[in-house]
Amino acid sequence: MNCEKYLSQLPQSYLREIQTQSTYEKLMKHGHDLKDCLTSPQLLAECYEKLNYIEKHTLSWLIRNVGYEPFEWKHIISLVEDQLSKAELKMGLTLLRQKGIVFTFRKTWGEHIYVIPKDAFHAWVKVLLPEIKHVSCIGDEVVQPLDRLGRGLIFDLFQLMIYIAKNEVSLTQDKMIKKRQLQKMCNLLDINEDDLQFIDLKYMGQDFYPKAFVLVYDLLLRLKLAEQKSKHVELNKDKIHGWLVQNSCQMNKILYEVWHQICMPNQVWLQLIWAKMETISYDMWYPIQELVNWIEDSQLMSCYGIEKKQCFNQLLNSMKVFVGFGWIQLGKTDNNEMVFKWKMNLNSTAKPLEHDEIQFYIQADYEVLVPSNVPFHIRWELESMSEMTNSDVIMHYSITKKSIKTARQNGRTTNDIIEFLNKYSKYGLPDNVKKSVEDWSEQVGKIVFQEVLLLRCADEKTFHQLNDNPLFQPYIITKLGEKDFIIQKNLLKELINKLEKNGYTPLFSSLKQGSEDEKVQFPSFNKTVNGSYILENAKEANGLVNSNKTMLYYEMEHKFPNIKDVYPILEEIPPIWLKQYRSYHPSTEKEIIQKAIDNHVYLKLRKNKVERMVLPQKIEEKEGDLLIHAFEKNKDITLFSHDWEEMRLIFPGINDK
Amino acid sequence: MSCLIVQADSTILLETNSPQYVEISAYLSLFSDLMKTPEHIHTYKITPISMWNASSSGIKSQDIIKFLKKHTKFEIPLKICKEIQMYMNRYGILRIEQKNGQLTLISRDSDIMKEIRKSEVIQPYLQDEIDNFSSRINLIHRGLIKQELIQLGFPVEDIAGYLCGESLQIQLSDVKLRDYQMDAIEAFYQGGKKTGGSGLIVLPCGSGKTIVGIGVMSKLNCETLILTTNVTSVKQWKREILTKTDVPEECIGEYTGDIKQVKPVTIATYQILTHRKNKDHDFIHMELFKKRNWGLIIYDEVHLLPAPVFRETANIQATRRLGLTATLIREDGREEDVFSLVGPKRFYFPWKQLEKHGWISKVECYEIRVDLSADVLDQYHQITNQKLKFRLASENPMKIKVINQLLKLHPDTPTLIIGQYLDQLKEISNHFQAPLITGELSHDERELLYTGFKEGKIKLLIVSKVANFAIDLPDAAVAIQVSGSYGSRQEEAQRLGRVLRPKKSDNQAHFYTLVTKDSKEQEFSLKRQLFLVEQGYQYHILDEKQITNKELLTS
Repeated sequence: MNCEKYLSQLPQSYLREIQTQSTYEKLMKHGHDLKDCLTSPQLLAECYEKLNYIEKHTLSWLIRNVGYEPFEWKHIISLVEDQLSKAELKMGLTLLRQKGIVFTFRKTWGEHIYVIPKDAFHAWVKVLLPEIKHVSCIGDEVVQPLDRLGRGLIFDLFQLMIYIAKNEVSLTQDKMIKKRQLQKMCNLLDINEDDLQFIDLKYMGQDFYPKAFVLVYDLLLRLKLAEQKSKHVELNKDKIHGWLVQNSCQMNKILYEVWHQICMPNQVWLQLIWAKMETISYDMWYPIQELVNWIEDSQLMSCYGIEKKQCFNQLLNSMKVFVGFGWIQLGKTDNNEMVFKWKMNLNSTAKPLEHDEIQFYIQADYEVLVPSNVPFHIRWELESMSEMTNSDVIMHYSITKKSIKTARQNGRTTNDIIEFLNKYSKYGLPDNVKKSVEDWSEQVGKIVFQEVLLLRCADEKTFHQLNDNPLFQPYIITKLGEKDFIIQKNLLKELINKLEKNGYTPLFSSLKQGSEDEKVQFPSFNKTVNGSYILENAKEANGLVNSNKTMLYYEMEHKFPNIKDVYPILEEIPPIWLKQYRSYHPSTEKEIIQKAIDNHVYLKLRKNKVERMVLPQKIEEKEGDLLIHAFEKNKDITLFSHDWEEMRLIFPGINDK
Repeated sequence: MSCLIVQADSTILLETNSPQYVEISAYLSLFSDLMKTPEHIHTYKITPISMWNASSSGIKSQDIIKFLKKHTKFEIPLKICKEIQMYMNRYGILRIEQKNGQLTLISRDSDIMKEIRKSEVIQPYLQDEIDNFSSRINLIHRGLIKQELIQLGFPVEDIAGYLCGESLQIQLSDVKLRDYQMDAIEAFYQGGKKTGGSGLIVLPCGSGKTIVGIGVMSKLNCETLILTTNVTSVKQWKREILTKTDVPEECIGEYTGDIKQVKPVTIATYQILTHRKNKDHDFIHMELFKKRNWGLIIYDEVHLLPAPVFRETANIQATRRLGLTATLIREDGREEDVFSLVGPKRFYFPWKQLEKHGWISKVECYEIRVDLSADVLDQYHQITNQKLKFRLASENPMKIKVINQLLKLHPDTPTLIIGQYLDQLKEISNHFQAPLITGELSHDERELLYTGFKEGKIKLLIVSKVANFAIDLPDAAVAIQVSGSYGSRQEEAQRLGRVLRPKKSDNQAHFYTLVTKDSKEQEFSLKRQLFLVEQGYQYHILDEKQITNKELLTS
């Protein structure tokens, strides 16, 4: 999830607290909003200068060691070793939370989970880590692209939506899609198991659903475009409309974001590389080795205990997933160097297309050829009245008698069909096709199965009583024989009321009052092209894949962090211990050293006006003398009582300035 | 302006409104097969054969890729570029040459030669190894080894040359060949070099394939065996040779079910060649290939060449072979055999160009929907057998009224009425007092009627499915189809061919099909409708009430 989402979940009071932090004061005055301050690399660079050393150290450590993975205190404390004291880390974390750089979630029993939003993380990578090497343009002529380039995740998603719109997709008692339909749905997808071989997905129905299918189907459910009812899968009309009117660029961005929520690699170095990769221009070849070199140049490789070759291979494997999604293309240069390029433009919003750019071709042989730039809401409508025959660089559809029948059954009129085809066909609707559409459509309407409401009388006498009573005439559509009436369905309540008032007690025989499982039809959005798709919190959507981002399932912490909570012991400590250097009685010295050890804070020592700051780890008494085992500038040292004359307790963030 | 879409399934779509349409389509047809030509987007397909055809005419894979990249609207699927390179590079790796009466299979690549030698299907045809690149082969295996190698994906360039055959002077009489016909002849003949002398000339219906065949004969001046589809076509060939060359009638033989003449120029049907008493007997008429020292064999409508004739053709690879056809696509998918045994495509000319130059007439196609009368409609609904329903709809008596209206729209215009059912045709014949040609009519009587029609003495002819075959009715300007199987593209093409020949006046022809409204016949007619629009013809669907508007039909 991105920063904006997190901010939107915070109460106003919390937001005000963040906004009043001195770090943002100047920027706010210049009209920047908080989200910009937290995600724009330029603004963040200014903010960074205003952070204190604990904040800087903690932030830098988190970016390099945790990434945008959610983390718990116990997790980072095991990682931090001697790079920061625990007190520094705790204080740093609290201060960063106060500034909205780290967000906090609360688990059931009150424990916290922290996270740096992905977009903020990417911006911090830009601020804190060196730039990647600029590579002069590698021309297409020296690159041999590798064969596989997926049709695009958005197309696969669309295909599943269409299938569900056209077919009743039933669920078993275990809420699994039936095998026969599953097979058909799998056949519609371009993404295959090979594309996903390097990702580890844990999901419901692991033994039954193929990974490629579950990935697309999960997205469908997670985006709330479809919903699993008790017995079938149903499309969400409103959400679909919002989704279809997005352009491919917007759709891909949403999918990219959701993908990161559920499936991005946990390795921080990969997250760092991906953050850098996003800054590489769209449709430009870039050597993969340069990304690996960047990790090395940033002195991160030893930090993660990986080697260059391993790094390269893992990075390549993580890219292969995106190749399947149609987001990245891989290639090899003449020098046998592996290169990649973005096939999805993350950094721009596509311009709205002109009318002539969104047209398809209708041929006199009933074939409709649809170029890839035709928006999905137009394809959707076309799908309602044609059958896809081939999916290639362009999509081929065929208008058939059967497809027109389906369109009519799904509520399109002859006029709707002809008007739509005419509107978007570059050369209009050929006469012969128009004529056939009219003929086929006309045939569909000749006989209609219609559900009506039958009022059956027990005998002819009752029938005649009702028939002769003018009170009931407005409700009767027609008479059938000597016992039955077809009555106005929409006036049923009124009729019941009148019947009861006139001494009849009507009985309901298997009358359905509408059921949750009624199949939704292929909805039409042809006349309403405006709309928007809002990506809801992933925790609200029911996907099949278990996300490793556990905080998705927790509530955000609404209580603003307080520094006092970092050192609850502070109130028990005599202020003089913190305030200045003093010499103490050995028993008091021992007590002070013990407090430093217990709270993971520093001890400042002075002798002959020479100061040193240590992080005590252990205290010993040897032959009446005090020994301190401590870290000093990341080195283990042992100090004897003759090594200091005075001492002072240092609580990072409190008295360390 | 980019106007091509290259797809991963090897199809190429060409937008016809491009200003460069003519040049682009011409270049496309050098390395791909034209699949369909509806008005706005034409579909071509690249196949191994089409690429080898291109290679054989000297085109390089990089030229094709460059051309596609230049004109494509979207990125070209990588697979396509790779396939073009792979397949086109294969052509010319293997060739057959002849030295001192010995045939040699030569490979440019010793590794490939090594692989070929390992192949169990090829081994029986290889004799001694000359070196790592070549092996000797037996003269009689020249065709068979080419057939097997193409199956392995390696086409062979055959430059082993030909036998001249028995000489026969053939001089064209006062015939003016059109430019493309001369180009076609030269593309095949290639100045008599070994690189020419076998292959296909692809020309649309009505473009004069027969005259091109005769032109090739006059270049080679040798005894010629012509194989064609049926007796009517045999007679047509004979008539054309007699009128367009100086070959005397006694030198021309017909070899059919009825007549078995073997003369310096012999015209036979595929049917007689593949005739045998039963499955256990040999094809005795295949002996015709050896009965004279032929210098040229012409395969008319080569896409219909039957399998046994392929086998025989494999044995006569030292004879020059010309295939004539309107399409390279075979229903049985044996395009590879045509390529390796008859030869590569040597010449192609698009029909739109013919139409543009007025060498074939412009045709407007109309489907006219005719109601059933109330009593027949009742009968129609009571029948459950689908075939009977179709027939009843086809023989709809109301069609006569519509024919009458159409004939009034085109007075004094040579008109054919073509149908499937004899009873219906007889009724029409009686109604309009017009002669009826059926299979029952003798050849002489038919010829008499054809002549009358050609001379303009007869304005209206009623013809049964005999019209499906290659009869020559030069001046039909209107064809009215009253019934048909409507499932056969071949039938539709032949019937359409009746009005394709150029007209003296406005060069405009009309092809009407009468279809009973809301019936089985209407459902079936969709197939023929598709065929015609895929061919690029304007297709209009009208209600019978609309045909009173003359302007509508003649626009």
